[in-house]
Amino acid sequence: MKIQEFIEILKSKSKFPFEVQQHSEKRVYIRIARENLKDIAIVIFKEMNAKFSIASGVHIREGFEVLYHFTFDKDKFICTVRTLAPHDDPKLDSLVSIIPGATWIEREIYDILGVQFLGHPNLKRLVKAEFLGEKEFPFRKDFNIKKFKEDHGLAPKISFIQPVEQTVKKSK
Amino acid sequence: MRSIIPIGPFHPLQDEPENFLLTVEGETVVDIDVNIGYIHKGIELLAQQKTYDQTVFLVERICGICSITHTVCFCNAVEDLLKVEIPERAKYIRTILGEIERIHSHLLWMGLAGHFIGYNTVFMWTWKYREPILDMMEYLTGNRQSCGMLKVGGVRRNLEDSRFPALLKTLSEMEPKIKMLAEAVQDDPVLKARLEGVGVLTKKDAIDYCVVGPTARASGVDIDVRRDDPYAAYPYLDWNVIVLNGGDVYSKFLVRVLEVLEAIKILRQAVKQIPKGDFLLEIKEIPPGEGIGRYEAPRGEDIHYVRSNGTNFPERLKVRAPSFINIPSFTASCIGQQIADVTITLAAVDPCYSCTERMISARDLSGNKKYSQKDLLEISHQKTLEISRNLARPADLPKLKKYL
Repeated sequence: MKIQEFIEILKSKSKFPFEVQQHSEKRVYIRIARENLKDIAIVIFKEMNAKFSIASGVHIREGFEVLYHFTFDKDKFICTVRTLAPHDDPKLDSLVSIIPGATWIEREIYDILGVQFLGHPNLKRLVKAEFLGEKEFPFRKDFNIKKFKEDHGLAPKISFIQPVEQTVKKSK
Repeated sequence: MRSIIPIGPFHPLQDEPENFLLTVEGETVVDIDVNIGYIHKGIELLAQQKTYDQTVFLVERICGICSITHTVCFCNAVEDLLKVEIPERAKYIRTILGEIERIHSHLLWMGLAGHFIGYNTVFMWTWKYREPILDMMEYLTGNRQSCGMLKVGGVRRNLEDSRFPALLKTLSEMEPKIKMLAEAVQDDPVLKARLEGVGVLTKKDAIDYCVVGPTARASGVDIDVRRDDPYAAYPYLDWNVIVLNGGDVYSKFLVRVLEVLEAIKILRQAVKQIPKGDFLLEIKEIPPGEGIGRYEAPRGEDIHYVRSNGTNFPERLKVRAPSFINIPSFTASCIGQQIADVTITLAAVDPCYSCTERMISARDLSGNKKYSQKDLLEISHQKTLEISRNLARPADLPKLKKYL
């Protein structure tokens, strides 16, 4: 199955619109609306037997972009499904009921980026240190690392060394 | 009656901080909860403040023993973004280093597995055989770990052709010992009784939990990135993907032993076929875009996602190490087990251990003298020279001394 065939099959099986961007022979990116996330996961993971590799969350101008990387091992390509959760309503449907392997990565994205996954059985923090508050998300662009370090006493204490006055001996 | 047994975050068996909460009914485990995050280093965030060249060194330090894995994976991702093909010699060098790493990583796990089940003979054996291959890494690259060989577009330094005979000699000395180990594992009643049928991960669970690497291949899932998404020199070489159907710890043990033998086969071919020529492609500018890199690490598929915005720094780097996706499968493999079997089941996916083996103590036994960085560097140089002296032809020695 080549990427073109895969797109054709996907078009015939799914009833929602999507936008295709082919990067190379091995990589294809699909953009969908967040309402259709569960449907495309059922089509790609259950019916077309892809492997779910990982999801990446990125903070962009329009909101939080979450990319789900599905690998087709027999056909040697990766299909990345990207979807957007806007700033004022950062919520996405959880895929755990379809893909049990997505449990941890959804917890991680919730932890570092603050995207809520609706329907996740156990949505709690995963990696962030305990002294970071529930509302502090280090991967958001408005997270001020400098202020955070000062608040928690992590900033390096810089002390300038006074230059030693050199006495120049005049040669007689 | 149900009770909860906490294991960790610091427990004597597994070297890295992880916390397992086992809910048990009598001797049987009925539920497991895994907590991580004790050693979160924030590398993904740090990478956004480093240039692409610096990030290569940063990702090398993600794992203590997979220094080639993450660097090659990151380079694959950036090269995918750029759509460039690296020189042939660089491909072969990446293959050689990667397979040496696979051998020593698998041997490390086998030793630890033997130690976990209280069979320390296996531990002593495998770690003894692991040492020459680490010395070989040092002889070829200058360091046992974190050798700083990789760069986007190829490799940073060349490997000298005159050093390959010593590698072949080490491999031919090692191969009968690994074969003996493979036979011993298959014949040994103790290992069989202790590992067979323990911690079974069925094929359906393996697919649902999306596990990768030897964990998946021992459950009958036929995946291997080296074949499925070829990178480096693997398409030019003849080798097999080891797939077993047991799903238990014994199958995982056997998959790893057989993969070591395959790695030896790959190394022999790579050394024979390696072409002469360039080893680094000059890359001047990284345009905006996205790239995904994959790499078959000793523990499974490693995947990096890089997004560039046209500046010198990556806008986002997402790293997915194989253990991240393998560890949640404990939910499937541990429930219904006896407590005594859980330790080896938890270790069977080879959760990543850091190893720092160079110096045993930084303090003099007699007094309290501490070594400075300069002293440590000199001791390190002396050891490299000693290894080279043992392995190299006498003619190479003056050349080596020049570097020190």
